[in-house]
Amino acid sequence: MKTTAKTIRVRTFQNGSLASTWEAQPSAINRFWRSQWAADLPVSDNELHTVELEGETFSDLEGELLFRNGQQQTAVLTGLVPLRDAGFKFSPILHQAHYNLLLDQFETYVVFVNLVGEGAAPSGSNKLQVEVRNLRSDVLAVTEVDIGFNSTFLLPVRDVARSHGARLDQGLSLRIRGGASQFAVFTVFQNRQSGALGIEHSLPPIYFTEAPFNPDLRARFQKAAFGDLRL
Amino acid sequence: MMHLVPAIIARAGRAADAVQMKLKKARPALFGSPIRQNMVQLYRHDADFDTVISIPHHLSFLAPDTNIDIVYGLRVFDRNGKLVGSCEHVVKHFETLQEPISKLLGREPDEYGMFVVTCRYSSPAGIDFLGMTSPQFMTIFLPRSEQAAPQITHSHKYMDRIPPLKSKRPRRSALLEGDPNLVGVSYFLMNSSRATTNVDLTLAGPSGSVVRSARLQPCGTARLDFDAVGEGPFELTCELDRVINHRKPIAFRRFSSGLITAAHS
Repeated sequence: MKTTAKTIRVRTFQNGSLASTWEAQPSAINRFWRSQWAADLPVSDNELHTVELEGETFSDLEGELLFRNGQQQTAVLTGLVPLRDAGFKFSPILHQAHYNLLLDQFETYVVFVNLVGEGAAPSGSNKLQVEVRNLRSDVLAVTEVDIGFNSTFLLPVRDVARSHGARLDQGLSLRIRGGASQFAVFTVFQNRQSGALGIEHSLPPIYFTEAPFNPDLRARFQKAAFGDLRL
Repeated sequence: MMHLVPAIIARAGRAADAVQMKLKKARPALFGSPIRQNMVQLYRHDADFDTVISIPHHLSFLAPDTNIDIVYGLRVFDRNGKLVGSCEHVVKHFETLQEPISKLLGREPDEYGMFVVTCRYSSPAGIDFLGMTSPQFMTIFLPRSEQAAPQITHSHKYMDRIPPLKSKRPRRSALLEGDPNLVGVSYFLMNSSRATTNVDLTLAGPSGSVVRSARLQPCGTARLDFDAVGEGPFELTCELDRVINHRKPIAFRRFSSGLITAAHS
């Protein structure tokens, strides 16, 4: 990314706890890898990495998230998620995971990255309700996932559906609601054989309706979208 | 002074849009629902990729207690901006429309080009609290190679309502390229307007810059291939000679492994 920040600070959380902090001074182009910012930290299955741009005043900055494995590199350009103050009351999230591929050679993961920062974790749960439907709208299963704070959680769509006895022959669409933290949501396609990846950030409700950011509409939207949600 | 004219025209266009949306919000039964329409994205239907379009019945998630049919319209253009075909699909509450573009359209499209999605609702009842809505979707580039992974991009900008006037302004992308196995990058640019538009793409790397140019027909799409080898980093600058809505080329990186990955810039 390009930034006018005075300091770039990268934090790595492992299993929800802060494991390392690394700082760099910005240059014209800033491109850092996990092997740089947490070089001595053994890789964990549950890692969350945050980037703090100290002194940056532009709020609509985009960053590039890159993955590479010696065969390919893939990346997604995405806006930055703000770190909220301690005690911030988070609204539940709503994610439409309608774009799943069920071919044998691929897996589709919905990736939840959530952040509450270094302060005390919220007292409420960070559960998400996962409603599994086929593309013809029939409800096949309803389940919950509990996502640890400051964590990264991968939801393998096909495996979740199968584990609840859902048939896959008419496709899958997931409605995912809930949570009590700041989420960034991605979808990752993986080729099971080669490990090759495709990634894109989600489209939250604000892309579909102005209601979440319109003070005259927001309360009615929240009631309609989440009024029946019990977690 | 002359460079102010396009901005004034664009502002007038936005003001006209705002008035129209205000009327639709106030009287949807009379003027139609306030929907931000004509969202565009790239398709590929070539040796490397086919394209699957996934469109959710978005009112289901936003207003689950309603039961409104949504008619999604799809218009597909070839690389020269000629209409290949159009179709409509009715999608019911909580359904998802997800099919290859050729199946949705009922015919084979070009090797690449732009498609446009619109929608209309069977009723405006019960969704006034959503205000302006939009038929967002996802585009999945399904690889022909057995080793590659599907690539994905979200729906992008809207078709221009008013032909944009000429105004050059370079846009530098935050998307940087570079990898030890990188052998090249192909950029696809869509003309979201009905005016012929010229584009210069500059890819700047450690050993200098390369410029490729294209003439985009109205609703047309151009593919520009760059030999970008190694770690780079390579930085893209896109300069269009008209202020069209869609100004973010879609990048497809090619690697020595034969794999290809994509991202919007």
